[in-house]
Amino acid sequence: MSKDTKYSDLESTDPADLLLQQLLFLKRYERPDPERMSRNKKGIMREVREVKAKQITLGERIELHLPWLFSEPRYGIALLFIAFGLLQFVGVNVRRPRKIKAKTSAEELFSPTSTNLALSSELTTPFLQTNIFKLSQEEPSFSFFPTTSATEFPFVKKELREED
Amino acid sequence: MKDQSTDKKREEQIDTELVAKAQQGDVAAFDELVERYYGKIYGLTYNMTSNREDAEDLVQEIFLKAFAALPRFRGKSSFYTWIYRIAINKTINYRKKRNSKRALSLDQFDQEIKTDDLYHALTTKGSPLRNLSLTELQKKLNEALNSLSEKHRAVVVLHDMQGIPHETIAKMVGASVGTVRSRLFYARQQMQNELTEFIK
Repeated sequence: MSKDTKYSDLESTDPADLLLQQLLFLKRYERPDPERMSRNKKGIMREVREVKAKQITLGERIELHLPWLFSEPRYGIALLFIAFGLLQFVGVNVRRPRKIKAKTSAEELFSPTSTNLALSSELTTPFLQTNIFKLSQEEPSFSFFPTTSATEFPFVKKELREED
Repeated sequence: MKDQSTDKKREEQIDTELVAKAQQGDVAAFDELVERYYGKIYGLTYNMTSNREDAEDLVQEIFLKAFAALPRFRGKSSFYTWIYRIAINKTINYRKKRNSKRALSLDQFDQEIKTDDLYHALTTKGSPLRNLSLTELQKKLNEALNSLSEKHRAVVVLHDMQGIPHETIAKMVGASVGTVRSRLFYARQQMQNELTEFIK
């Protein structure tokens, strides 16, 4: 119990509860043997100093264990391979570009993107239709379109008339 | 009230300074922390185990653990709360691993108890405790405490014996204030049933 607390501070409306609290309050008079306590405190600090003495830095640790690599070459070489493997793994992961988010839904795959729209508009322009028609006239084997008739291309008809 | 708050702040300030020094490798600063908290931590472990040898071993383990974990202590909570949290967890784990029904090994009551008004009031005529010797009372109380689960016992020890407020206990045990109050209520009920011949 803290020194500031007094038993008169105990609060309870139930007499049985209050009596129990008072009994528990009396337990603060149970005191450890001073000699044992002092011995235990010293024991703790001795352990702490031992732990502190055992704590060495990473540099010191490497320096301490470096001769082992030379005394046991097999393990040393194996350790180097593992280290290189890890470095390689880390390097590959750093260089690898981030994955582009995959399109998952059919809706996204077939949605009319700006590129698709541009392509479709080019194929329907009079200029492109004229060029394709001319090509089909020059090259008889060209069969990109099922028809070679200029009448089926309204824009071509107009241009050919003008040329005539 | 204001004085208590000022004292608490001053104590926390001293702790913070000692912790900072200990984190830089100052063993003497840690020694000072052991000196400041030994009594409280021993009180907790002793009342949790009702066995002074176990309590001494536990206190040693707790301070060694605190020393090892001190570099990771960031000061988000006070050192006081932090070390109590370590102590509670260690003690609960210790009791789970070992047989919790170990024989009692109790500290002596200080003779100062006989000058306490409360003691006089409880042992005078008419009190159900009048014919009970101190040793018997001590044994009965510890047996009643032993009947509680670890979590309930921890709350009783922290609140009813060490006078720690509910809010601080909640931080220490990692539970809400409501849970702490509920555990305390249940634990007291159970202890009253154990001590029914004196209390009811």
